[in-house]
Amino acid sequence: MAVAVAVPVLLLAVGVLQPSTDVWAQQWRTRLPGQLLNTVVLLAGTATGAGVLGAGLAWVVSAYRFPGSRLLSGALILPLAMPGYILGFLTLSTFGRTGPIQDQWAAWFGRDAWFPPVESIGGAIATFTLVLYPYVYLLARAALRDQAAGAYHAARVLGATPGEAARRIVLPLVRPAIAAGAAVVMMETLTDFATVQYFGVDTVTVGVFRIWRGTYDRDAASEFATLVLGFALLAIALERIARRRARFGEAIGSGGGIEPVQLRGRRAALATTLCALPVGVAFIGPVTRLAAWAVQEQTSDRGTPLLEQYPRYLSHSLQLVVVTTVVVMAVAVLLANAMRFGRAGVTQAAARIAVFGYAVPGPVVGMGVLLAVVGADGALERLGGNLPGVAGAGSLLVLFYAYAVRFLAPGLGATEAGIDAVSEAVTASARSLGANPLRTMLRVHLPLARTSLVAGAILVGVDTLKELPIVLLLRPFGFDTLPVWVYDLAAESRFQQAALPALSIVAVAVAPVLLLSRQLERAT
Amino acid sequence: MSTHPAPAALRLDGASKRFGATIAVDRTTIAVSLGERLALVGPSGCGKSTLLRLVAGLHTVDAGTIEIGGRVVDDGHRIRLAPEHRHVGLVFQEHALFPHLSVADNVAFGLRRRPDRTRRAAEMLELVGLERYGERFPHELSGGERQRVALARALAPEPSLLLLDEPFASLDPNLRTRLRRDVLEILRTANTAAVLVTHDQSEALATGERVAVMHDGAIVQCDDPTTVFNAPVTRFVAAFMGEADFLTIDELALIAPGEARGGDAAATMMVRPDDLALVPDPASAAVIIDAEFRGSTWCYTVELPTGTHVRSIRSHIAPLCVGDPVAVQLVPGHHPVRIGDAAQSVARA
Repeated sequence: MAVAVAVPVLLLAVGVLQPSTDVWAQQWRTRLPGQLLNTVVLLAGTATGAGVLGAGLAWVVSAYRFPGSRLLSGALILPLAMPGYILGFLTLSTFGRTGPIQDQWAAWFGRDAWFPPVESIGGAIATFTLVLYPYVYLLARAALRDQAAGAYHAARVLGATPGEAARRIVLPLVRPAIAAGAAVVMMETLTDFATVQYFGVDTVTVGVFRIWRGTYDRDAASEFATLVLGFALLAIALERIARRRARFGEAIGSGGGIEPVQLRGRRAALATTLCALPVGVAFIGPVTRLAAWAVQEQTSDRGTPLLEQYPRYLSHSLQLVVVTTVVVMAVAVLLANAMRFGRAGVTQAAARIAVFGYAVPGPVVGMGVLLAVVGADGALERLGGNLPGVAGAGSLLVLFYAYAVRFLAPGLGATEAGIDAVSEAVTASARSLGANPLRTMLRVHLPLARTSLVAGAILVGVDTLKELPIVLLLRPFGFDTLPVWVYDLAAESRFQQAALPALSIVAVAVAPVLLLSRQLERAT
Repeated sequence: MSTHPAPAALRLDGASKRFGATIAVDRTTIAVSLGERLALVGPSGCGKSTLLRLVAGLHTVDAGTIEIGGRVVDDGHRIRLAPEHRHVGLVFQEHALFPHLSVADNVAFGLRRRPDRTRRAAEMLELVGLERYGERFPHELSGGERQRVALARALAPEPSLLLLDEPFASLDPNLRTRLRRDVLEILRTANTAAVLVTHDQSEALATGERVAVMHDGAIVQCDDPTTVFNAPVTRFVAAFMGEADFLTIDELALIAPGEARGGDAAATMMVRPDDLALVPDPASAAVIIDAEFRGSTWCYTVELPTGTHVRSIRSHIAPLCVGDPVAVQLVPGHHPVRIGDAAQSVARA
């Protein structure tokens, strides 16, 4: 099973050994240099932005008390529920050339007054920063609580001011966590090729999509995908280095966190504003705008046809969600149990590779799965058999396979956590009381890991619902999901009509974010 | 080590297990006869828990064989019986009850195929004195009650061998002594062979019919409790099973010339603190360097003229002071024990 997951990625890596030189040459002459530059700038800009914003906010909510600080420290992760491709079109429609802000600006300062270009790489960086900073925020907050508190207090006792202690002691200790968060941010940014297109930014990920949708040249597209994989590996390497360095921090861990300082007056107001701003700009504002649009759209004349189409998109999305969640959770449960029963190192190695699927950007997974399925189909044909309809690149089977590969990691993570929480002694007791592995799994592990399994299924389901790049790349003709619908409408600047499906996605995506924040609150 | 005639409840023959570069269990040979209670004692990390897990089938041996009730269950390559087929009972320090099942369902878990499972489970709960607790859940029980349920659950399928891994370590000292007595009684009633792993030497001495002392993956000595305590075969066993000080023959000659006469000059002699008496003697070159109050007794540390330290436990009346010169004497009826470290290591190699 884990092999089925690992194969696509490996196939891609092998494929690049026989490059189609003419495609590369042509790309190199035309778009590729610009794409590489854009990708580097986009990744660096987003990682920096999300790093500074996430770490800064984590410090403010950990070190200070101010009006609303408890509520805001939880609310600051809400933007995780806002997919980039939704905040992207909202940013454009609000701050873009035809948006209300620029209209007002022109009314005040005249038509030719300078306004920062929104349809630019800067606009894309700002959007990604706003939806992705929570990854850094979460990791930095945990590191501050678990690792840095003891050292911070020691520094204060030794005479350092809060500022000095933060700069000289806390920052170096938390830096690995920030770097790890930034790596996740880069992976997520790299996966995207929808949001960047709104902003007219051409990246290597967009390149894969272009080649594939433009020419259906499988080999060329998959080779291009390895370029994306290269960037992903860089981000993973960064994360690994950061994690290794993080080890020195653990020794200092005294728990308990930093005793927050109560802020008053202007400084308290400033802190509240600072923390409320990202939540407002990246979540509350956008949701309000979407809701207003959705209501307007329904009450207008065009409302009815939109509502009629809604069930079709929804049912496609639900099909994907249900099949992916069931498959992923079944595989995750079997893998996690196999690990508990210690079926040698093979399972563990395979499971680690399987998790790789999450770190690899969606488009790369998509191309890899395509290669694997086509390869299997070819082999079957030679044996005289046939996989019905698989060779057609847009079959549902390919889509489900790609989703399972991509989202096995969160499902497996939650399942593993649940089963790890069952003590080894409980497993051993069940076994020596005569229960074979299957009965132990059904009667003991699954009932005890129930909560984690539900949480894992929710995570997988929501990730599947939000996912855009893979479905854009691999969907059979006419198989449109809610995100595809949003993307199509937004690409044609029909923002108002995109509001209803976009709002549905955000509404569903809030569930796991609230789940996560509740777990975190319990941990503190 | 004595060899038992078949059938034995458990027999390990040259069993070895390594994890990477660490040898956890090193060519161990030991037998437990039917109905016998063996206490396996050693410091943490000595491999005693690994040994238990090998027997239970949670690990498999790299070399050697394990036999349970006369049947080979693991021979290191061909036969590797899964834990559920070994018919051994397991009791853990953390009880490991199934938190989602009631007490009665916990006890009945291993009785799935038996038609009389409900009755049998009730009988077992009666045996451990918890007959009214069947409907409760593990989190509603105290630590001692949980341990009894774990015992009832392990004994319910009538295993030929019961393995207990630090079963009392999580209980407070008072409860521990009481529960230990109860468990011994239950084991005697059930007449089940048992291996009890512990790091606490007094628990090993109190519970085992035989005590096996483990060190660095190997069983160093396996004898009845009094022999292990009174005639330890190595310095390690002597020091681990109780407070012990070691003297050369020459040093012993200063204290008890009669005991030292004719001794091998290279021998090491062990004295326990209760073997030695102290008499104030201004002419003595031995000086008290530490006095520790232990309630009913004082434990004095004395530095002999040779620089060696010995301890002596005296009653709490008429305390001596640090700095007092004292004469060290052997208590009448007590004898130092010759420790055969060198001879032992030759025999093992």
